Amino acid sequence: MEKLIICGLGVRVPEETTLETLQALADCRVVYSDLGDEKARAWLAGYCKALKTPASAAEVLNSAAKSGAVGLAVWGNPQSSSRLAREVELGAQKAGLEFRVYGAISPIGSVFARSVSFLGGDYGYQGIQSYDVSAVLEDARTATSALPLVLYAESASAAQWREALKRLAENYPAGHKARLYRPDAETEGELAALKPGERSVVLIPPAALREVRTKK
Amino acid sequence: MKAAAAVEGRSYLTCLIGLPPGGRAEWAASLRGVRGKKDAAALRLSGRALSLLGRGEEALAALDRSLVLDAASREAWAWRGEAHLLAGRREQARRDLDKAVALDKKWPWARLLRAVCMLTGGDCDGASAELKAAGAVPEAVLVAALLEGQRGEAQKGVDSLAAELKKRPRGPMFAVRALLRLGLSDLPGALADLHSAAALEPSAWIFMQRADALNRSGFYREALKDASAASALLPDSPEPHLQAANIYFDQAFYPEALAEIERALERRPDDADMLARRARFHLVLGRFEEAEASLTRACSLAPDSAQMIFERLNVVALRGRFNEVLREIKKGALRPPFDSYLTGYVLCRRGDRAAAVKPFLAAAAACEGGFAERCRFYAMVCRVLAKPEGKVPLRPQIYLCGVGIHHPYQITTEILRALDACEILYNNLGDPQVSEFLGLFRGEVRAVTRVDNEPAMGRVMRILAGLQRGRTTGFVTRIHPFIYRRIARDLVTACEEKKITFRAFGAVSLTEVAWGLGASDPGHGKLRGPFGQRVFDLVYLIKNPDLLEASLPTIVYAIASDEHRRSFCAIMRERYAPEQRVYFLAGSGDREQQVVSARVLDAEAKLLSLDLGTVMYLPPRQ
Repeated sequence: MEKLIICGLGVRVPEETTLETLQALADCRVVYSDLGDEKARAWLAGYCKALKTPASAAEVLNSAAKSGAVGLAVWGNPQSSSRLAREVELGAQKAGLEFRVYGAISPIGSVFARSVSFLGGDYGYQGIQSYDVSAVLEDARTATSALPLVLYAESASAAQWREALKRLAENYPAGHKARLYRPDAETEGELAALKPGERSVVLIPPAALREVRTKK
Repeated sequence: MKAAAAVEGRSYLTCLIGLPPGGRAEWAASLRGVRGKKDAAALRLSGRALSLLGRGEEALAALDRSLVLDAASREAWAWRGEAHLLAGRREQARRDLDKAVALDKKWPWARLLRAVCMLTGGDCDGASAELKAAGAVPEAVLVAALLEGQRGEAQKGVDSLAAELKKRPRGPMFAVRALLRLGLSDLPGALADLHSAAALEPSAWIFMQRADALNRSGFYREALKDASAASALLPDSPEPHLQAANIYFDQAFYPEALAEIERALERRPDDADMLARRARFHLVLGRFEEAEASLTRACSLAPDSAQMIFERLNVVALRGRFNEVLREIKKGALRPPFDSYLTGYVLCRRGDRAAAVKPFLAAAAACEGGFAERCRFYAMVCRVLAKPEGKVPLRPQIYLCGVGIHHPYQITTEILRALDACEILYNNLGDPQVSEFLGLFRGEVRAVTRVDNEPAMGRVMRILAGLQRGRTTGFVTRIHPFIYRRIARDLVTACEEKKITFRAFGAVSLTEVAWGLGASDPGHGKLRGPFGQRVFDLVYLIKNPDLLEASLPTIVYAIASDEHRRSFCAIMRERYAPEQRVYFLAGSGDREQQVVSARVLDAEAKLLSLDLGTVMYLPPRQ
């Protein structure tokens, strides 16, 4: 029996949250979540015995060490979107706590559905990359302009987004267009001119097709 | 491995019975030799011959008569036990084999058969004691190897057969090693053994086993050929037809699957299990009337089967006869947890979602395992649907819905709402559990049937032909509809051409599952996230190796030939340390997903042994 359940709620909460995740969280004695969106938080609370905001990974781990399962629910996918989730996971491994990470929709999965993009086959992209804004801010060379890029963040500031897009734009031809997906709207525009906000995802097509997509 | 081995119990037995000297021709000759004779010895011999020729019911009749004439014959009890085992009736088999052993404790065949009977029930200690009692007969090597497999030590079993295979290479022995190799996920090794077995001693059992291995490897056409070869050798047996039916069904060739199960039923018309299986086929096809007729007959043949009564009433609920179901439940037709479950199911289908939560939870509390999981899930479905939906955007004509790898549990809340709004649901999944799940909604469920050699667009055109103005339609598939899903892409193309409005939803795909399971493995490095990631098609990556950045987590879809897989492994060996671990997603379809890891050094052998849809996760270079 797991002591700790680590879940992602998807990019658009609650729409992209799976029922498997909801079920697992509903069974937990207490659920910790750093979800910033108050509306989504209120919705989640309706399925949890108790919902708390964790001060640190250590708080989640200490709680999990006591009796009864504890849940951690984060925005997006735990592996791709949350330092907290990874820290808790590594801490659980170190402490020998039984834990399970539940499958969650990643920013790639979310944006593919909304943009009607394909991966695989002789019709779709043959490769793709995705990064949290913070990863690009740490090192913009992480990303390559040869592959389509999915850039995302739950709570990056406008300044952080601006800086990340500015750095990336240097690798693309002038006027390179990208598509911005906010929780309830989408727009297309030049890369450096996009204005993403909280819980946004940006899909940037490759600079030049290198057989990335053989056919639309 | 343990669970898999238990399921394969009947295959174990079929290997074992291949051991007595003489093949099909000899048993057929024996049968001719005793034709018309009515003494106990002749009936015994004809019973065994009929059993080994796949005519189980006739075999049992002959052995019954033989035992009336001579109840002190150890052989008659043992062969009847064997016939019961072959028919899957373990309890009756065990009773007969106990009698045979009681008559002669030192007769190795009764001991060996009882060991196999115990193995099929997962009783390893009992089987081990029987083997010891059987003594040093050559056939015991096989059963001992099977025992190792059942204990989760399949490799030991494989090793123990090596010497015997050198001394006496025989078909059944190769077939047993193949079974053990299947348990080790060594499909190529298992197939090689089955090819050797079929070349040495072609038998129906070996063809059927090879059909199973071929089907698991994705070669369903070859699998069907083997099932057909088995049927030619055992023309009176329903088993090869049942196997062909299941293979066709897995591949969504539903009319062909039904035709095969009809052939199986022609050969054993009163088999309640097969009738119930046929009903499940009908259910997936949305043919509720036929499903009900099949289950009504199955219930009359097996009146004590709680499972069949439950399945029949479930179909009645799907046909909308809610009061009839509730009346039957009130009369006590169903025992817990089925009574509460079906009450919840009827309430949910009737649209009373809030009221359905309680009975589903009561059903969950009354059982355990997969069924409890399903009941709890349905309770959660009802909890979500019982809440007001909020503002709904204009509905499209068709929704594209992926219900996840662990389906239907990984369905998202927005897909649940969409399904609830649909009047027609096209089900692209053969899993009867998904059909049952879709039955919770009011929409009419239609199966997406495949036609051999037809491109995905053929299925798409049939779906679009079924669209009706003003009636929202859902297309339900397993994983993300836009990740390696030709049919969804063709559906989108056709919708765009015909100006049909559509909307797709994100779903949990193999990308997230492979990454998630790999990163949670204790053997994974301690790097902190969040990471970026790159996802590739293996063939594309071979052509563009510069895009493989070893400092980033990488997912590779390895839908590729062995040659391409080898080329990729060569690139991987250049970029990563030989000791670094990489992860392969094992298990597909309805099996639970898990990852198996290998060092980069050994990854090639592993990658070559896995089936066509393997997904790899390469952690960041340590």
